[in-house]
Amino acid sequence: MKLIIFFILAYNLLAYDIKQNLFTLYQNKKYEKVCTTGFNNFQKYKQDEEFVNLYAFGCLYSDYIDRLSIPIATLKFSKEARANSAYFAVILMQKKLLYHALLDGYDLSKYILPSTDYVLSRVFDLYTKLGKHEPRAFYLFEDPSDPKLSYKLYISKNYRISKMVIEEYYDTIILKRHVYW
Amino acid sequence: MLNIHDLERRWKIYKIKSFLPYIVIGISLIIILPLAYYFYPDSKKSMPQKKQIIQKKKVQVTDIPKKAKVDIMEPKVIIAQKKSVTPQPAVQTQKLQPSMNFMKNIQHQASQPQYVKKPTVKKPKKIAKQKVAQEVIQDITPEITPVKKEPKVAITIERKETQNDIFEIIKRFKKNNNPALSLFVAKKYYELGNYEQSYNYALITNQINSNIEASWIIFARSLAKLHKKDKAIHTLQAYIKVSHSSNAEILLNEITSGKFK
Repeated sequence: MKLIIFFILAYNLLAYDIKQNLFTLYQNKKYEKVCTTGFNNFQKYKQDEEFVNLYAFGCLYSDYIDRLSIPIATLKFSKEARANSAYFAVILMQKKLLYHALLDGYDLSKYILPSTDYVLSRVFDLYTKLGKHEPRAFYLFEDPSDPKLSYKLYISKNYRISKMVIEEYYDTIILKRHVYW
Repeated sequence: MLNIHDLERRWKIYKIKSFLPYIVIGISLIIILPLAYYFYPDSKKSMPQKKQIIQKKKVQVTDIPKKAKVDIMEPKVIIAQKKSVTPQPAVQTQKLQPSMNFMKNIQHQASQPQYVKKPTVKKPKKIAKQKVAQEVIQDITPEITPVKKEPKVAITIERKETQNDIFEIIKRFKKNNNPALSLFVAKKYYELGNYEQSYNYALITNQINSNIEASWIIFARSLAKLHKKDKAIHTLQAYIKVSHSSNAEILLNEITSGKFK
């Protein structure tokens, strides 16, 4: 009897501790760790939308965009969850479309899609504005809101898989490199 | 002689005790399960959603023939609409915003000691960096007196998204002394409200390259924010004489008229 109560208490404490740990990691900008910890514990907490939201934002900011597919499907019970689910879905779709366009020359200019403030979306919008064009080795885009901010988009070819790279620049200084595939 | 009555009584007590855990667990489950079902939000919300789906399906079935009828009956109207649609300029797409209210809920749940601990850890680094920056100022500019720092009792550092980027760029600046890097750091510190550091890095940028307008403006803005308006005005006047910068003039007017806040 004592043992059962102990296990129930321990399980509840552990569950609370993992979520709290995830939150602390998120606050400290350890997004990659948030994503991996969330991924490892997802099965246990997939009903907890706060946990799923945290996990999804961790994966988004650490550029693990493909991992958003499950949160997109599970976030649906509250208004906030649905808003975030739509937000992630747009980013995932834009990633897939841009990758397809860069590798296979698929024309995106005919689509008018929703957008977000995420870097991939900003680059996607700038790319679609180019219209139909000949494929290039790389693309340089200037941010319309800040002329000193610019983005470089190109495909990095690997022996196994080609990866889509977005580099953020301020003046000539590289701020961040995002790699998607 | 064996006392059978006593043995039987003890046996009954023993039997009851052996069943007691099962009885307790059973009762607690009977109480907890309905409560959990009642309070758990998913179970409540998932039910009406299914109903909605069924209702939607019904509506769709009834709607389709109506639309088809409209297409057949009024083909001219559709053609006219198409004509008006084509010359329109590119439609601006709406930006989706993520909802971060769940963070507040988690924060409320938390007892918070872990989160509060973090900012105080980096105190010595910050002070050391400020000292280094002050030394640099003294070496570079004998004319402009460095900002006198009043001893602060406690420095609280708020962790922000750009903080890590700034540290990375400072590292790179120390390696290659690129004025674009120090200007970036100055701007970022200004945005974060750390006007002393923004002053320091703008000054370093000016020393490396005195022709960068943005750097002089950040420098003057930081001085004004540090309640050194006279110095800011003096610096801007000197810079305007050399460069005839219109942005510097605008800032000077703002500071002198008291509009700058």
